[in-house]
Amino acid sequence: MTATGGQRFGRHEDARLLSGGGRYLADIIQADALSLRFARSDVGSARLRSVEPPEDLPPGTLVVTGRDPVLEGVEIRHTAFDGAPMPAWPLLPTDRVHYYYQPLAAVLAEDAYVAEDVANQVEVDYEPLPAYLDPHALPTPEQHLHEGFPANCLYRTELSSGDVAQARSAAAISVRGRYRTNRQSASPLETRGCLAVPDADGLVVWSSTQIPFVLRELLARTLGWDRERVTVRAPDLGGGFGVKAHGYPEELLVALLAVREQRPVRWVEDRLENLAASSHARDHAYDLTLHLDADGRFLGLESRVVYDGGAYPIWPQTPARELVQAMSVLPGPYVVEHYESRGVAIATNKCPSGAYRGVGRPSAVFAMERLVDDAAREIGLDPAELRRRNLVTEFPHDTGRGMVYDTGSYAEALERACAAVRYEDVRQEQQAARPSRNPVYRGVGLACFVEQTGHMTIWALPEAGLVKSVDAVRVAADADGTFTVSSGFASMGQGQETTLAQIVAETLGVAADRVRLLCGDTSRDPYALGSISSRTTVICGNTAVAAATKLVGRLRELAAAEFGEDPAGVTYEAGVVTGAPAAAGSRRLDSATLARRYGVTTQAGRRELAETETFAGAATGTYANACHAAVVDVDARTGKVTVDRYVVVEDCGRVINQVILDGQIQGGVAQGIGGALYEELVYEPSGQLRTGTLVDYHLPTAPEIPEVAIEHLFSPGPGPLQAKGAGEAGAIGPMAVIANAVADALAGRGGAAVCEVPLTPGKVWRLLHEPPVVALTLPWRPDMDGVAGGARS
Amino acid sequence: MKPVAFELFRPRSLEDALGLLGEYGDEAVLLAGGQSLVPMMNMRLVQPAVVVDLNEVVELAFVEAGADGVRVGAMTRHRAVELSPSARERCPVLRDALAHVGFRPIRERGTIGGSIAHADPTAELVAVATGLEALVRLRSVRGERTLPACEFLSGVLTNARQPDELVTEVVFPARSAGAVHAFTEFEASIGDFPLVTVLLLARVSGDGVSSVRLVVGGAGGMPHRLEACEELIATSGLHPQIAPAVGDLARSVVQPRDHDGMSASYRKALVGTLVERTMDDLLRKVGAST
Repeated sequence: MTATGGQRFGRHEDARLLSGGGRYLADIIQADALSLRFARSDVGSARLRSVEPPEDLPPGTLVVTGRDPVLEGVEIRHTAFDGAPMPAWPLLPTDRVHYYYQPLAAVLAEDAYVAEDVANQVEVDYEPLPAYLDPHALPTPEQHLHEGFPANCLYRTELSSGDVAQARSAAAISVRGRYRTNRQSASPLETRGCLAVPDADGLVVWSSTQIPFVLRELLARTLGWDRERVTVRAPDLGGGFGVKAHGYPEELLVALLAVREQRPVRWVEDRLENLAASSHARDHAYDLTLHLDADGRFLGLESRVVYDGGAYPIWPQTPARELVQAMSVLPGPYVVEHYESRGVAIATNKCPSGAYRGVGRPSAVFAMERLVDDAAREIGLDPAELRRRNLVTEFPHDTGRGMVYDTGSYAEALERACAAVRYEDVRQEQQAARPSRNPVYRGVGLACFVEQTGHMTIWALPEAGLVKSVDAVRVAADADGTFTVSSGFASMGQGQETTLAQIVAETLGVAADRVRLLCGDTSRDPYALGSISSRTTVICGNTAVAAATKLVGRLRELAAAEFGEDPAGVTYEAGVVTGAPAAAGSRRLDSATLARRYGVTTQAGRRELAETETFAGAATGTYANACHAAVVDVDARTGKVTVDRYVVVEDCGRVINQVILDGQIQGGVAQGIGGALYEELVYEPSGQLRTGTLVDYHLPTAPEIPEVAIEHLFSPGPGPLQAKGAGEAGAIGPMAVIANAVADALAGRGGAAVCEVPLTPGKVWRLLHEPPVVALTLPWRPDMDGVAGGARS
Repeated sequence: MKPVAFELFRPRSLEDALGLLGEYGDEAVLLAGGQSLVPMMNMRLVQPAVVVDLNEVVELAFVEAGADGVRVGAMTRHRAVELSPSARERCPVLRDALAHVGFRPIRERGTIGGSIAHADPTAELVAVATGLEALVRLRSVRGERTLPACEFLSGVLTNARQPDELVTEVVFPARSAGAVHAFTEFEASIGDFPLVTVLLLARVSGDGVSSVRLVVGGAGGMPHRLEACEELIATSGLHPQIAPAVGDLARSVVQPRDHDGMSASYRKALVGTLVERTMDDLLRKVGAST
């Protein structure tokens, strides 16, 4: 059925954010703060001989190197989620440089300009080494990065269901494809940054982070302090997209130096640093084989996945999280009984890789959906028809691989997307195309996917210092008649000030403008894991309903006691409790009065009556689904791809606020189109980043992004809200759908297969005019097979 | 992303600006629209001791159409040229090409003098100045001189300006009777730096075509004329059939190099395609049916 009933009112926060009223990290005034600037490596791999301050150090400046006592015994140490060991990440290296723009020294100065002057004068003596950039090649001894991790293999694992050998022998045809998504940057509008302010008891760290509570654990562990002494506050965030869901050396150094110097220290990342040294993403390679029967039914799938994790394991997820995610989601929305996957995460001399909107899925969906199209062509079926024959249609669906798809509308989404994109019209246009001196090839592409959302991703790693906590939400009646909902996630532009206010307002039966959100402060708000994994609405939203319901119960009880009545007899409506008509006449008490009489005064001086609930739902989350479809035109002579139309038919359960949902989808699609057509981080063979500015790293702008036609389907999610997560979905489909549309446009033109993104004009032109003999080889190194669950020999 | 310390002067007259240049010479850089200089300073690719900001020198912002052409003051914004009725009338190719520059906010800031002095090989203005044989007027405390654009533009990102000189204006010849033009560029995304620019100018009289100029930017080095192609057009006349031949010839004569992940063969193909399409565009304008 079609989802209806979602609110369409605009976002509360927009008036503030769009008129310059946002308060971002760099807006926080701290007059006595020292500015920190990093001296960074301008090579990708080197043996470090020395890092020395310049000779004429301006007064009041300080240069901190890896040998500074403050760093003794301090590094980022953690393991994979399953306990597999990972190499340590030094905050400032002392012996080896492993990636371009790795911080080598921290400069503190009263003035940000002086700090940058001094950072540029830091004398670094290193012996450059050959950079290790291709994870498919065996490293030479000089290219070996981490002791204890032979051949730079950080992690290897296997997962399977059924017996793929059976599928292999029963198959009428087996189709093999090799695919790659290249390295990308999430490029939030606001870069990273933090401001650490020491006080008598501890430290307050303002950080542009998606995970205030999780970051607090890393900070406390690094300082060797009890967590209660550290407060993390996330102000408004100008985008996060996963890149701010990590702990990095930079913010730990800011905290350590603020404590040692007993001065506030501020660091605001610049765009060059953001491109070169904030986590990269999507550097995946796939070797897939699909086994089909004579009717095109999928019997089994084999996959080998190589993930380039960059120089160090990102905290706290490690490359294992991304790799396993990709391996797990490959079979996607299809019935695939027999599955076998082997995967490795390899360390290279590139920036550490981490989460980026979709985590693993955009790349895996790209590879799988490309394979489905290639298989369709191989067996002479239309790609839409091949999907139709294989989509999961009965729910719940147990994949046999630890995922149970709860509800969904996979087949309906496909049919609706085909209709909305006018799939058959494109087929007719392709038939009717005439030869031209300037041929434009039209193609249509589809991508179906399923996405686990709202799951409990507790990184319960003792080594990572993380506690096992459950998200909590607090709802308070304020003495002024308003209500406050609070939880410790971050507001990064995803509209939670509106969504959560709306959810609480609906539960309380009051207007949404009477409810405000507080978030992002570990000293004030209840624990939340953070704004990640498309989880806030599902987890904090349902918990907010529970907390608001509990608050209503409390208001009823308190009022009933005043009335001298049984709570069961009183009526609650829109913040007002009314006594039973027979007993009372006009006895009524509103939430403001009850808060004044029974509430407590908060640190901020508000008087409130509060109730807190913790999340009580399943840790496995809920599975959203979508089908994306697009029509592209390929200028055969320039290789330029233009997206003519783009359709998303999605099912994230109940739509809570359609303006926000559509905005999330449109924005995600824009980022996905960036990865499909424009964005690629390219390293020179020397290990230096060639695409270090936005002149070379092509982000799409508004003219490149079509208006996305969006339709919503409804399959109920869990809890009272029945919603599923939707923050990442828009970004998952575009690489697959655009590549499939380009492949469709190029089919039968004598060109090469479409194996990788981005499909820049030069690459598309080459596919048509100078097709490589072998598209992609992606060799699987002999050492990549081995003991599952960790790479250490 | 913060520049080194520098001394900033904001002269309010041309005379004051020239005085400062006379005093500081090659220690000084000139700040016009700042669209290239400011990012380069922030990235410390340029580390000047002195910045002479010309934005208060209002006498350098003008568009004046005379009998001999259109004089555009160095501090005139791209957008002002775009909107100028006289520029549009007297030198329509200038206006058409400038409409391709970046996005509107960039054109609101970027200046004619700044763009020509920056000498970016794929800048639209550089292609137009080369094709039209515009004149670049330079002043210093020592006096004034005028250089043809191709002499002023001495190489990629370099020009013939002396350290004490200031570009005061660029003079574009007025459109002559029968003049036609077409301008095409290829960019990876809208508003981006073009990869290739093609400018085609000609004069049509009766059945004949003369004064053919074909300028290609982004094919290696500075924008330059493809004389072989010009000859082919001049001798063949504006016939619909010749566009592919002109494109093929252009593709075979340019000699770009592999650069930043873009192969020479792709760039040659782009040049050929764009020249052919520019030809087609011109043919459409003169009413020849393709």
